[in-house]
Amino acid sequence: MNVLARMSRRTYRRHPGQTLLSILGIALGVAVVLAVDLTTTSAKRAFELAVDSVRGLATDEIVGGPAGVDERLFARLRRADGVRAAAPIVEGNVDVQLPDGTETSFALIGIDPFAEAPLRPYLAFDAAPQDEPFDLTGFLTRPDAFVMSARSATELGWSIGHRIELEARGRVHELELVSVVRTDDPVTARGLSRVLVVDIATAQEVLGKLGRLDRIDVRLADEAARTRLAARLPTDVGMRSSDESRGRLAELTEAFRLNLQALSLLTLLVGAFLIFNTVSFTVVRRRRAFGILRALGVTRGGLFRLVTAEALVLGTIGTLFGIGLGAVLAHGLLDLVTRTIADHYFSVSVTSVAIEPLDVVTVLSVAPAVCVLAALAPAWDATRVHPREVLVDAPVTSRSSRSRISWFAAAALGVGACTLYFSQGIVMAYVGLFVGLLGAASATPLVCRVVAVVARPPLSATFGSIGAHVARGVTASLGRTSVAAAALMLAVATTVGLGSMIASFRDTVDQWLRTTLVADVYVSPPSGVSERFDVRMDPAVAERVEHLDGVATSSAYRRFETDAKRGDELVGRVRCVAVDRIEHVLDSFRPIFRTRTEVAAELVAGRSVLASEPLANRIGLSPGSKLSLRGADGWFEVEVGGVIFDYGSEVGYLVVPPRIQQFRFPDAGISAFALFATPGTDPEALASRVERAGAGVQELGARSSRGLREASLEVFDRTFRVTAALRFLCVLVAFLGTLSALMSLQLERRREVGVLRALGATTRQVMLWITGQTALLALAAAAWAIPIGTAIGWILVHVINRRSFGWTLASFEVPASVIGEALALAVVAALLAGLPTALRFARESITAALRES
Amino acid sequence: MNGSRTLVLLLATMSIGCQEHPRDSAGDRLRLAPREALSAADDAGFERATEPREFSFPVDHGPHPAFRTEWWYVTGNLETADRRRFGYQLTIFRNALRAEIPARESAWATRDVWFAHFGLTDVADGRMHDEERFSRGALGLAGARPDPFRVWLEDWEFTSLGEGFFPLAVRARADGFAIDLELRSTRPLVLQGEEGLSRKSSQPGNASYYYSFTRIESSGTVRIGETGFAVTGSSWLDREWSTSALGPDQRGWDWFALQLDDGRDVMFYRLRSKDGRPDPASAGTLVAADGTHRTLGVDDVQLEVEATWPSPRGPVYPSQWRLRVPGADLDLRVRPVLADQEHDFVVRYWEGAVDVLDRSGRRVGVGYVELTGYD
Repeated sequence: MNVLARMSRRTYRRHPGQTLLSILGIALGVAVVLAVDLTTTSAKRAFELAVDSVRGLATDEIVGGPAGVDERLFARLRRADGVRAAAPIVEGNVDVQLPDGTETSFALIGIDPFAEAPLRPYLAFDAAPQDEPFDLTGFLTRPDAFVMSARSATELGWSIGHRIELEARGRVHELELVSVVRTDDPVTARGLSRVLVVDIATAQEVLGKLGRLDRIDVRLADEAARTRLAARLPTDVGMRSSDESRGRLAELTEAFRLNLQALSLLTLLVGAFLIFNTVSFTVVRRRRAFGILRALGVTRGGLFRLVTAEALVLGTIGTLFGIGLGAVLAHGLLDLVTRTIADHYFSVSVTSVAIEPLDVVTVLSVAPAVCVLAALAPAWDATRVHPREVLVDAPVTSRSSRSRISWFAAAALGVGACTLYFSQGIVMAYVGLFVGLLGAASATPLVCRVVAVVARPPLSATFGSIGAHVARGVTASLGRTSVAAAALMLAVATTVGLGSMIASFRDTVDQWLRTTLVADVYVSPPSGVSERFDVRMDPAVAERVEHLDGVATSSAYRRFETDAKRGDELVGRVRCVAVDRIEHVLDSFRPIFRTRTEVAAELVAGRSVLASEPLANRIGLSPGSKLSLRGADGWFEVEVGGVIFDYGSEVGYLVVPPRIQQFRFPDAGISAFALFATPGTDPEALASRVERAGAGVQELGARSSRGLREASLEVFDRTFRVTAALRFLCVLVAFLGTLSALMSLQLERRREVGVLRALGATTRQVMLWITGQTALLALAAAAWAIPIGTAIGWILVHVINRRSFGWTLASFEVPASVIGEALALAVVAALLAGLPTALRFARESITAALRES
Repeated sequence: MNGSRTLVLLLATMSIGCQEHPRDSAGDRLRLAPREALSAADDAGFERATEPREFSFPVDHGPHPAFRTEWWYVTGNLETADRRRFGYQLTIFRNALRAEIPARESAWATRDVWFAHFGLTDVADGRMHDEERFSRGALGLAGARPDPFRVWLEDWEFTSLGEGFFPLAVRARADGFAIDLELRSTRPLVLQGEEGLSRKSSQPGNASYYYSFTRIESSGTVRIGETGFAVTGSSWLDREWSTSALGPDQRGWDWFALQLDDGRDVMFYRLRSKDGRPDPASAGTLVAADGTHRTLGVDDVQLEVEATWPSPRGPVYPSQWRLRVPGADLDLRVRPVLADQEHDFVVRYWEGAVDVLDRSGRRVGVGYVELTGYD
């Protein structure tokens, strides 16, 4: 083994704590990044698989207005137009009670088994293998028959004849598994894991879609066939490519994924600081050795390679551990991530995290590279060591390098701010944020210096010469501790930023719920996962609810979806809400740009629609914009009268005045009611009476506005649990970093402690000196972290949130508790790092300490 | 022609899923031997053909939902002015999956499965084009009505063009081939078997109601690819409904529908037992040029296989016969116009145009033959 490598090994062996901490730090960083990537990717892939398996070989789909496609169109296409590769689909989500008592969402897909051969051959009636024949008679003629993939039936432990209870639109249906379908393609089989397949008649009955199809899947040979078919379609239906609709669904979660990934990268960044710190430390420790090596003829390049190779080895070991740890962590995060996705987007079944070789290769190549990058500066430092330094003890940080750092900090902060301000999109927002954070982190030593200077008079006043010495010690040691301070600052700032973002967000949503929930009781059929939007109430039940005792007045909400165009460009489906007797609930709509009175007048007059903010941001609407919607009779144009606050989803919706709805969307049924109680009626009591009103026909969910607000906030809190988990991990890495840096600092200080002790300092004074220094350093980092964290919070709220979800938050606050937590974190880290060393030194014999150096 | 053999086809298809099926190793297709198909059928609730009935037209041209199954079966030999020869077959089947008609809200709900077989033999090109289709009997996708008569599966149809049953349009478009014909019968309808009750085994109730038009003038267009051919010729229509027909020991049949130049028409089906012997229930009809007819029993007809054809898909079919009816002075050789007229459908069988030759080898007629149960 060559001399240099042997020296490296000895250096790291002599400081096992340092080495372990940095390896652990990088491992944690890698683990977090990998875990987030694995879980979100697994969820996304599960979803895409489900979409693809169900889509089959379809190239296009025929879709209609709010109520779907008239079923007679299918018969016409087959009979008159001879379109063979066409299959009708009726689909929806249903909740199924599992044997263990939990409820899971399944997609219920209604098909015509005679139409499936060209599109989904595995569903064609004659595709069954001989040992598991397809019970066509049962499937077609029994109103309670369903089939599913053999694989998921096995997973769920269901065999032929198994009966399930499922809930759709508030009604409970009992279905029986009559056959299983097998596909040779494992990908399709996996995609079908949460899909119940029923005859199209059954689907129409269960989902309440009599006479309608959700779409007709078609397989077209070429563009000419597409044009020919499009020309034959009635005006109230349209055709879109299957890729397009799949892409739109996948896009839904893109912002969610990106945000989680960015947060995980932050953890890796903190991990990289740790490597930077460890490598710097070892370089500083070996200055003398490097000087000798240089004197012995080792080139600068040789030293540079030595230091970067060390970082590469540390980084690779850390990454390898991190990959293992990431796989474990992914299992922990999986539930949180899929819960959040299910709360907000769609239900997926992700039972295990697949470790993708590609992910592992990426992490294996990127993470060590980041470590080498982090080691570049200390490696450069090592090459600067002059052979003369063997004899002279030169200061580590020169004034010129300090000014270089200031320049770098200022430049990075500037570039970060400009990127944030001028760019668009989430990715660039995060780039800006990260560059700015690098600047802020590199400014940390300067801040610490200032804090030390400011703290010196009060410290010496309180603790005498030791106090003054503490402050001086901080300044003097910054060359070695600045990196640790920066890592700690970054972690604390992240905590403050995420904390204030979550608090502001929650506060805004709470305020919004308080002002928009103007009625006493809200009622709608209980929502399945993705069907909640256009779920419909049974007309008889709706009638009953409106006339219940204790209801003074009511507004009916009709929710539906339709296609929208801006100019000639199709922007896809938009959700619409029409409200009867809108005058009662005008306060629900809080306009952003215009006054409430103006908007109310427009709504009542039925002149224009309102766009909720996420929709407005998504498709670029502002007051005065024109938008075309596909009504029952074809396209028509409306004007956007105003934009309203909405934190309900990142999809957004349009508020359609009742007059437009009655005229253009006459089929829209009632989805929900806002009920106003008569004076003296208890809303909670009314809510339970309302729920009973659906008995036997349709289950209803009724909540008082207070109950609804609480339930909404509960979903909110659940959503941010992932963020909180990441925040915790980020802090953990920073904590390790701080520990490592402060410990190295203490090792450096060993000789000084000896001198102090020789001069007659007491054990208490030595401990005070050591812990005081670390505490002061930590507090300085925390002091800098609070404004930086506030800025992060502000950016998350006003830039990243807005770009990701389209929400403007009304308030921004940094809660005192978040600041308190940040300070406590810094101090605890400092004490934990300082105390053990302090104790050890305090007990050590003076001569041993002095001899050591 | 085409009596009980199509019944088995129907039963085979409908009972998918009711029991274990032999499976073709080469592909995904389901295969059912007739016996298994029969035993799978649950006949409870259906009417059965047990005794002769009073036929009533046009109602009996339409559907008979009280019976499990029925079909409208048209085959014919056509040629262009310059004697380019075609054979065609269009069959529409209805099969009820259960006796009760479901009372459900959705318009898609049904108990009837409809399917259709379309074959077009292009003798000059040496190949047969064919396609099968399935549909549910709902939403107007497939169905039948007596007056004005129409039976259809999507855009394949038999439709009366005037007040009466004839003229009858026969239209079908498939991928790359199509027919559009107008049929006019020159002979009265023939009630097959015992006044229209056609027994298919010795067991009572294993029978169908069965009538035919044995000679129908046909003209119209045949299209292959983008090329249309004006054609004329002669078709044969079989109409049959039943609930169950074949006995448990029967394996398949050889079915002949021959139109002779001397004006006589011969229908004969030989039912084959599992042990290979001809079944005593085999029977036929001889129609004279004036439209009168007499029944042929199993002993009236002598049938010898003179050659076989091994299908590339597995089965070995007879491919030439000597058919003798001594009592009617008939000694005929029956020979396919093309060896490969096998339908590789969900149920595989052979159905094709044939020439009828006399002992000297002179063509004395044309016809259609169906061979099932050779898998």
